[in-house]
Amino acid sequence: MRVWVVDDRASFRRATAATLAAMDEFVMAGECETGESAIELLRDGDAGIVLMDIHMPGMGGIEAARRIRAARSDLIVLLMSTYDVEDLPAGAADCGAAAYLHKEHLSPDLLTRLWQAAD
Amino acid sequence: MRGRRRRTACRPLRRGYLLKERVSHFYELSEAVHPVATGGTVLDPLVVEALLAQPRTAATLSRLTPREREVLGELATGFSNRTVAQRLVLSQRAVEKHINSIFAKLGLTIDDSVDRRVKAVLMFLDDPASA
Repeated sequence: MRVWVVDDRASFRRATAATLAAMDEFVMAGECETGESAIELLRDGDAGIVLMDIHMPGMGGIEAARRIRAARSDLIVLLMSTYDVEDLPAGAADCGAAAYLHKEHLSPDLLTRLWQAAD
Repeated sequence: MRGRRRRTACRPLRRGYLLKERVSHFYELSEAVHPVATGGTVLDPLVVEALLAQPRTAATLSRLTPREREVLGELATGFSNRTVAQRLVLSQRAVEKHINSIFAKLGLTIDDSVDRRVKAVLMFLDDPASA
């Protein structure tokens, strides 16, 4: 499965890339730091999963997820942040994202289980 | 590893690794001298055993979460826990929790004779995907 990472923190993008590199099921397909560039770059890409940070400068991850899903309903968008579920911003539930993952809980095991559930 | 093999193929490295204890055994030494002289490499069986017994860095690092890798990357830069917490917008307690989880996943116990923080950073820097 090809994974695209959208996060304004370069260190988190690098760390996620290293995590994916150590896994058999996933390949890092690409990365970018804003929702706007994600919409542009994912229009024709061959990514299967998008890990999308919610809190980014500009439009943010929720609106980006909504627009990406409108153009590419085949993409699985997973929102990420450090909010507790009850504190998620409005729109997170109906933007087309398949799930919300707390960044502190994002792990190789969780990604594998999500992938198995989606398969 | 591939690069090392290529170099060996172009220009044989005349290296032999035998434990000192073995050198006293003339027969083993004479067996070792020939392949080394002809460009081969001799590894003492005990050295091989020790190498194979070492935990594989990639296999242990693969258990780290992205956040743990991010914290370890900050430690590798030399930042204190407090600075890491500020830079990653985490509490200092959360950073300490991540560091303990990193130690556990990398098999670094408190009884080790090495500094766990330094050892973890060295493992991180040795990982091609992280460094």
